[in-house]
Amino acid sequence: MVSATGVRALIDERGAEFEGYTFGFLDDMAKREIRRTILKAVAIPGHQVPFGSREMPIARGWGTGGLQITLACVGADDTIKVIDQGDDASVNAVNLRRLIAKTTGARETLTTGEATLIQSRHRIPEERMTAAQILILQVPIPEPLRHVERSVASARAMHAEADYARMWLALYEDVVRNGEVTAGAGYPVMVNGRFVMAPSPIPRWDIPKLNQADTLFLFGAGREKRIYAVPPFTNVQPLEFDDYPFEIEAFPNMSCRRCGATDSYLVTSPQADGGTLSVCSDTSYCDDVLAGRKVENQW
Amino acid sequence: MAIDTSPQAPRQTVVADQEQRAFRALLDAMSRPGTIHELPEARATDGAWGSALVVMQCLLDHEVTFAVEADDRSVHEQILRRTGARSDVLAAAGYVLADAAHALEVIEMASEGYLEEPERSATVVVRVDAIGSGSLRAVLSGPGIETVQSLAIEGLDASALHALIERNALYPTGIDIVLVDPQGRVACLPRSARIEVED
Ligand SMILES: [Zn+2]
Repeated sequence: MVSATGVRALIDERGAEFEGYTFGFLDDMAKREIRRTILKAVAIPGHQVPFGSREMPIARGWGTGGLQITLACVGADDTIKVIDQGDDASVNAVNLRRLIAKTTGARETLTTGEATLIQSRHRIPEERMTAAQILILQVPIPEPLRHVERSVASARAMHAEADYARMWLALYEDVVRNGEVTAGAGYPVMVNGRFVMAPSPIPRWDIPKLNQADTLFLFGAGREKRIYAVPPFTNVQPLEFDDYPFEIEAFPNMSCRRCGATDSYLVTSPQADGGTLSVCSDTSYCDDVLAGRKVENQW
Repeated sequence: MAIDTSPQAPRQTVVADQEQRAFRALLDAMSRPGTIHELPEARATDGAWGSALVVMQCLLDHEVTFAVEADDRSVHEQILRRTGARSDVLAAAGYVLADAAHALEVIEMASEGYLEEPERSATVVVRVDAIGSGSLRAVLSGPGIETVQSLAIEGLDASALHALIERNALYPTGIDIVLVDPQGRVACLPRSARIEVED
């Protein structure tokens, strides 16, 4: 088990050849099992389906669940994009993208609109994705009931009965204590009116994009060995109270320092001079705005 | 921005390439119930079972079980030989292949899974005469469908769809249907789909 930088070493050691590796890294049996699991997950939106997560050349927690889904889906005709918190250029994103491309011959891209498969950690792209694309989200903790029920078996029973009373109670206590539901990244959602689901640690900004989208969303948790899905045109509603409605993050009077956008999710970092710097989290969108390219960002 | 990739990436074997393309057709079909997709070309010698065998080979190996319910059972031997999957009784099999004449019986008998493990249910592959034309019409709504999706089917009796509606009434348990025709078309009726039958 090696870190993300270990993938770099692996690629360097193997050179361009990747000899001895099977297409898409995983063996045919592993791919078949993941494919069976994905189809079940799509047929039962929001339900976590167990699978036999394989050892990957990256440490668990670095996106092994998402990577296994990507490798089970990808063909030589695909164009792949990998983003880490919106950024294609992070070491982790670059290494995952190269691993996928080197073992499959799939084309690589940094541009949201060009990709057929996008693997992502913690963001849904600003650019509206189409029916011809699939978004694969990396999931650290797939169980949305984890903080109200630590027993896996009990949580499964609660999902089975659609008994989410304790989830609602926890949200209510949060509202009483803090005046709002404080869940930031990974705000819990109800899928198809049946299963409460962890949308992975995406910001609230991205939650409405899951509802009635054109695109298929697949979620992979490698360490916890779960795959789940939100098909296109599926109802996905954040858990909220009538008097405390769900709200996305607001960036009042702020714009991206790089491209000037006022309609994207911004990340703010402290600067040496004591000030702060805010830029688009989604680097592909930032590039588009900077270049004057108009992309559809209404989901 | 496209990035140049090395041309030396490992090549997919012909069989693995076909399985990957079959999976993507199935994934599109399952994600968008009632829409019609093209499977990769079947072996000419497989005749009317060709499309069904493409699907079974994509999904089956020795980790799963299957059953065949059809007048012509030659396909049973082919699945055993090509996939290594184990044969099981209809009520317990993970994957069931049926001709249209046996669809009703299979839909009534196949496993629906358990409330805590609804995924442990049967996926039922039904070979019909044609998808996209025919007198039986399923009007679908629900996840994967923007408004409604209409699917015409030739060679399937309406009673099979009525039985499916009944079997899937206790969602999330239920069975997922993969329809194939000899022309290489595939369409899916996942348990999440709401179905109205017009005939
Ligand atoms: Zn920007």
